[in-house]
Amino acid sequence: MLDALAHALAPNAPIARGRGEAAIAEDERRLNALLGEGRATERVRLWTNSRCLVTTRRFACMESFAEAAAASGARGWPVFVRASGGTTVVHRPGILNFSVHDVGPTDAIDITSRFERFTRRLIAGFAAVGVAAETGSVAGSYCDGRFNIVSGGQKIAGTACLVRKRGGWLGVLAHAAISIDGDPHADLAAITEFERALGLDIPYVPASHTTLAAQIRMAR
Amino acid sequence: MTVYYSKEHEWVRVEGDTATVGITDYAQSQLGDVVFVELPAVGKALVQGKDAAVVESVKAASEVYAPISGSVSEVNDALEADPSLVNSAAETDGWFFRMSIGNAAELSGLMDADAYAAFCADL
Repeated sequence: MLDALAHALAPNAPIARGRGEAAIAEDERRLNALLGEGRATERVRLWTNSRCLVTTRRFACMESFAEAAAASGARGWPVFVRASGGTTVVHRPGILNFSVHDVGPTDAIDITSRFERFTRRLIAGFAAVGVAAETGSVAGSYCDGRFNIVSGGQKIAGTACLVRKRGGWLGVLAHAAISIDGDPHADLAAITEFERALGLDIPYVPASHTTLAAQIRMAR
Repeated sequence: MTVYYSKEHEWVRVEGDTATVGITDYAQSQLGDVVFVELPAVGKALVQGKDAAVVESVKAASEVYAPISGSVSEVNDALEADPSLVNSAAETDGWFFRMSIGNAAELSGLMDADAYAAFCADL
């Protein structure tokens, strides 16, 4: 299932099996490297990660972050910080990460059009494996936003974006975390515990999330 | 008081030997609802074109670059409590930081309001 979707998204691209912080930082490293080349290019990266929570600088700046991260780590969910926006998400082997690094010569900050192009690609990938999907917000989901990928009214993938400019070149990292299989309830519980320790109380709804495996089962 | 604009969509308001820096209305409109701004530490030496701050919106995270070189003298603490000021008042109350002007000659490479409006119209 993971392989089928990966092939639909990026034929012939290998799936890297990453571990924790290094796998997350690789996206940023690649964006910087491509910006340094100073030529228009697009590269894709398919990868999975070991089990962890990935949060943003906003949360990492909170007073209780170190303590909350240590407690989460002790529960088996180490916390790492990513450069892109949003809120806390889950990485684990049952979640496929799809990153597109897009560098071009422009002074415009056309984030919306980049997101739209990226989500069209994701939706086409889901269609290729027999799952109908669209973009939209899902109330109660973690890292909610209007560029979620939604199937059957439930969030199946979250997206995030990092924008960098270097001397007339715009580099955009668009990233999707796609739930292939596993237990979204356990994911939500881990996020909720971590964010509560930060002092946040975001009312997540377990039924707001689904996986590719669940959607394929329902389609049969 | 003179206001300059960079191609990276920052504005710089110069008053005496101090510059106030923020992102332009165009930039905030492209980023969407701003939820977090990471500001530089007071005293930090900034180099023109290098990272100075980070802004996170509901859509994306983006770096803010120093439009000129100098040293940070003050940051806008109000953004910590209310980052949406960047959306509602990008070029006034939503300023990011104030800095000394390390090299006034760098200002000549920036645009005035008319030139920046024309620059954005071409994007």
